Amino acid sequence: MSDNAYDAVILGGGPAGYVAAIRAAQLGLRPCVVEKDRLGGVCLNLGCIPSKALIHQAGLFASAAALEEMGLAVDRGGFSYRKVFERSRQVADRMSAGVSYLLKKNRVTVIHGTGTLVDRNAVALPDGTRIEGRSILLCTGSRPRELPGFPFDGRTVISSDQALMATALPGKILILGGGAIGCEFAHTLAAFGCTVTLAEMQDQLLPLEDEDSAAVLELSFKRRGITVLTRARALSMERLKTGARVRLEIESRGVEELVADQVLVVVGRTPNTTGIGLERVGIEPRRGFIPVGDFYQTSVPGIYAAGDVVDSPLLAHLASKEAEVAVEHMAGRPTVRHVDPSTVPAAVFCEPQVASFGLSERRARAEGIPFEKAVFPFRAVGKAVAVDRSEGHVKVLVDPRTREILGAHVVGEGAPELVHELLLARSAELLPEDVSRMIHAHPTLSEAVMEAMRAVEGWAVHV
Amino acid sequence: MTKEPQQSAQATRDITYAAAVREAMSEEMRRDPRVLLFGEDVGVYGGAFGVSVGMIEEFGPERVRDTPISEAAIVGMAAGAALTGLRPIAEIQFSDFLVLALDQLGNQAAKMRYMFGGKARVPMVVRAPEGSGTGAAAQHCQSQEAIYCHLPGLKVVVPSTPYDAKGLLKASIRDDNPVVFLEQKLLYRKSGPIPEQDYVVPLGKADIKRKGKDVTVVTWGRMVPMCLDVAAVLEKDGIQVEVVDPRTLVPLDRATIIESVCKTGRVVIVHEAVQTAGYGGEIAAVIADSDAFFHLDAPIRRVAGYDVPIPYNPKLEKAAVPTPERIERAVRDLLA
Amino acid sequence: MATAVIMPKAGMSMETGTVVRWLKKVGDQVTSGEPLLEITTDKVDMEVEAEASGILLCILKDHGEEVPVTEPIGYLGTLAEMGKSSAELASSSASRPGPASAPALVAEPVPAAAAGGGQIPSAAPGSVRSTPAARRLAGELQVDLAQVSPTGPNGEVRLRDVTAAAQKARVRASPLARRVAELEGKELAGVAGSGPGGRILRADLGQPAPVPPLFSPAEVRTPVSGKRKVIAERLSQSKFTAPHYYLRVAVEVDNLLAARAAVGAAGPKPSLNAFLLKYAAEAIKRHPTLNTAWEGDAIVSHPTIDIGLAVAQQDGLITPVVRDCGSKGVLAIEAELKPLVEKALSGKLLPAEYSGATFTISNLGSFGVDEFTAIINPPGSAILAVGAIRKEPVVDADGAVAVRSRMRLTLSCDHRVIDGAVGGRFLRFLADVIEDPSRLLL
Repeated sequence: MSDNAYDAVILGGGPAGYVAAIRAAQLGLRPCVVEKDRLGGVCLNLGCIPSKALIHQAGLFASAAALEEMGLAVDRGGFSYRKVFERSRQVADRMSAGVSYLLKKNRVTVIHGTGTLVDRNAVALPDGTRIEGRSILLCTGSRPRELPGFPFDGRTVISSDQALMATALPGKILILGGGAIGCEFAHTLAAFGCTVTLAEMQDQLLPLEDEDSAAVLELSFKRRGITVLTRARALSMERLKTGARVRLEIESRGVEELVADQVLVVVGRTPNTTGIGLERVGIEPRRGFIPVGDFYQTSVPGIYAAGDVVDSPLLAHLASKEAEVAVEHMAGRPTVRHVDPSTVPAAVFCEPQVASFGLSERRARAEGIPFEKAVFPFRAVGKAVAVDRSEGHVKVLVDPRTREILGAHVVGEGAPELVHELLLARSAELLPEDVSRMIHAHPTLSEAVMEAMRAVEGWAVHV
Repeated sequence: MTKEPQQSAQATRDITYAAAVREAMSEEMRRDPRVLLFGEDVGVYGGAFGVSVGMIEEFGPERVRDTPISEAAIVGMAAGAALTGLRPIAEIQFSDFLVLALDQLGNQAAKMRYMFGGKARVPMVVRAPEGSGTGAAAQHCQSQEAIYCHLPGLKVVVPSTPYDAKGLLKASIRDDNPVVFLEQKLLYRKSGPIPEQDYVVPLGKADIKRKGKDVTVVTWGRMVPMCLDVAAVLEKDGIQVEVVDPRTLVPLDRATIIESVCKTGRVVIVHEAVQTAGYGGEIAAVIADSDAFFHLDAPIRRVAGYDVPIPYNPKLEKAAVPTPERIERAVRDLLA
Repeated sequence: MATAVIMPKAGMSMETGTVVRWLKKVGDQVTSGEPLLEITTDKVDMEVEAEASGILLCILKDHGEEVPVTEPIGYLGTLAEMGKSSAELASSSASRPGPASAPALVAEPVPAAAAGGGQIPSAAPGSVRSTPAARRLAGELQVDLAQVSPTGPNGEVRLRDVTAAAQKARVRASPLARRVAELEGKELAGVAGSGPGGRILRADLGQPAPVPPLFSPAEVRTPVSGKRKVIAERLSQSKFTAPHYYLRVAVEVDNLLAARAAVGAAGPKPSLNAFLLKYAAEAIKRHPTLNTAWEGDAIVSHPTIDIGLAVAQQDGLITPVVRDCGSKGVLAIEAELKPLVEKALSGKLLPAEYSGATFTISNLGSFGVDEFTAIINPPGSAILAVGAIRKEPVVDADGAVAVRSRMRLTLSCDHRVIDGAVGGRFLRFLADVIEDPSRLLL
């Protein structure tokens, strides 16, 4: 094989791309990653990782109040958000370097440049260099979606990218979009002392999550002074000397105007499928996404797609999994045809945290799917009360006849970690009694999971 | 040890059940001058069923005696004779009539050894034919072994083959206790092999007439050949029946029965005698209160005579006691 | 004393049953064992037999009513009891619970052959009815009797049930798969497990998941590519517009194979297909109707015999064409065909190279197909489908049975252009020359 010919050419070095590359190397393929920016993609650099670092620091900042209650005098005068920002960059840089190291360790060739498809077996760089691959994986990710009428300018109207790169805090911010990203920013900025208004078009925050989880979150936000507006649509904006005046249509209240120093638009993400050469190989995007079939193959044999360019939930762990399946197929290994959507967890890291997988009550009702549910509140869990995190609950949905675990919705401290026990139970086809009969250490938050599983069988002890 | 060589490598000859009884008595009378036989029509007539034909000619009227028609007298005489040193065989013409001698048998003969502190011995045998099938109606067709099993001091023997009949009768005659030896009317004419040489079948030992692994059938007397026939039919369907013949009802060979039920887990007890208070109930209780209980995979079943007098009508007479169909159905039910 | 007719518990998991219809009317005489009513459970429709004889005194639950198991749905009794209220009947009834209706009974000695009168005393709730042997084995094997499905005639757990349960437990299956198997009455033994370590998962039981997947890339499975569309359109058009008919013949190919071997001995051995193209061309020469096309208002006769050979690609089908086969020998045909096929396989054929075949040959012999019918490839009016060569017993000229190598040909013809006799004559000629090439000299 010539120097520029590989078994798998991977366009994009984010969670889909770099994981695919490492997996390909493990399976004995010769992979090449073409990345135009930083390895690790949005997730590591402008998404999951830096945002979690900010959230963590926001939590530390907010604990000043608790410190004061202990009798300490906390001087907030020296606070520098720039330091917070820099710390988040350090984390991102470190993770990105880590990816770099992993790729090197696995002998993955990394080519820095903007690659585009030229034919079904090759990607080319702007200078014409051809990179040939027996198979190609397209995982160019996504970018923040712009709202018509609210163009990003990096100052008054910002995207999540720009918010993560901000070195100073706004005084008053309007966040358009109450999904996971919007809620995380609302939480972080409010914790750092900004005045936050969070507006969401649907009837609840986190429209993709369970309605009760959203309700708990909303209540918590409101208690913290975050203004939450649901069924609110942004109509137009008028730039001011500093900041902007935004007109919102709020269903229950009519049209209102709101003035803020900044408007953060987090209404979704657009897949990066233009300008990567799809037309040259005859791939037609559908609503911007690349259509894929079994094993994440596109309509062109040998070309695969995974991650945010594919019409599946925009989650980093799902991107990695899809990419793995594609690579396993490339290597001729037996693998699943596609990821089972009901085993994909979703997690939101604001406070309280939210996590879930599988069937939601809303969908069950809409489609007439029979279910039984049990809800176990954290206020009945010793650990939660002891650490002052007693808001939230564990909700489980099971099939009435077989007791199969259909879905779980956790809101509260540790939700993203706790959900895994339930997800494991579902994946391994365990029944509620398998979980409820297992001894859970006391005092832990996991006891809520055990009790919820007991509750589903009618014998919860602590409620 | 449960199986005796009914057909050993040695020479055998076929004789009838009746002849086997006769041979046993004759051989013992030749062997021991104290043995004598008396009963109604046993002498000149040769016995109502021809069992003692030729014996008066061989042993003379002192040792083969015709008696008056008084069962109490016959049995009482036997008891007295036995007490005073003889080894009498008293024949009662129909087992149905033995109840007339119950005081002599049950209160006197059975109790004397005990009540005389062991100083008395009553080595007597009371023989009588049991069973239905000859159209002799209610007072001549009964099987009442249960009555005699219930009287401590008596031994009760019910042979089902010529081999068992001869061997067990010899053992009974040689036994120093009163033995009630219940023959089977309808089997008198049936032939079977016996060894040429002398042999004795010990009392108190059951015989596994047929080996099997699926169901145990405990049965005695005339029901034994019927059960063996049913077992052959069931074998065609792959059901293997083990037929256990206790031969001696008192004392009962519990070990053999229990061992068999432990093996098969299922048991049907078949007897011609009436079911209620029949000896099958005793055996069922023995099984239930033994190790075999924990191996039972089905209830203990009895197939026995209905609680009715034996009818005169031949069809009803057959139907009043176990039939091959009833036995087969009981076995199949347990395996259902 | 009246006897209650109850909703029977006809299965371990049965909680309720629904009355479908009564087969007897109130006042009818009923004999023990006679079918009395029809019920339906969540699994099955069944008849319920009368447990006793008597007159049907009353019907408490009728058509369509769902009743919990063991609840009375009627009473049987004597004429004298006719007219009593169900409460009176209930208190006076000696209801003998049916065999399978008492999951909480312990095996107490059942009175034998009791004619509809004995009451089976129930033991402490929670105990499982089982035989002593079953209990012993369950203890030894650590099987929970409560989890064992009983098959005994009186609803008791028998030895075989415990053995079966222990065996089932040894089968590796996820708890959900076990539960579903139990509910659906399926056997786990023998099911191939697709889970880790061969574990049986729910999907292996063939049961649909209760929740349809949110998104199913299966809907987007292999979107129709351009090439696939073209093939689909053209062949559909051909099949649906040209009235196809089919002629079959089995050809002895020993001579053909010998000829091929002979040619091969003297130089490069041409492919079998090259020979077939040559033979077909010769046959078409003598039967030129096979080289025409229907164009609606005219039948067009092609000047040259351009034969296409169907080549299977990874994702489709294409027919490289050898032009003017009538003027070329086998070697020349092969020389042209070989590179065309290579180009076809690598997807590099130019349109000029794959269009305009007047006759097409499709050979699935190498795939092991014995014979098949092909769809005419426009603009041609016929296509020859070639099957695998197989050794077969044939009756030769002397009437003796010999083993020959045979190949089946199926000719599809467009009846608008080629009549049956024409097609038949062509095929027969082709078969004859394949069997005996010397006929070409004639």
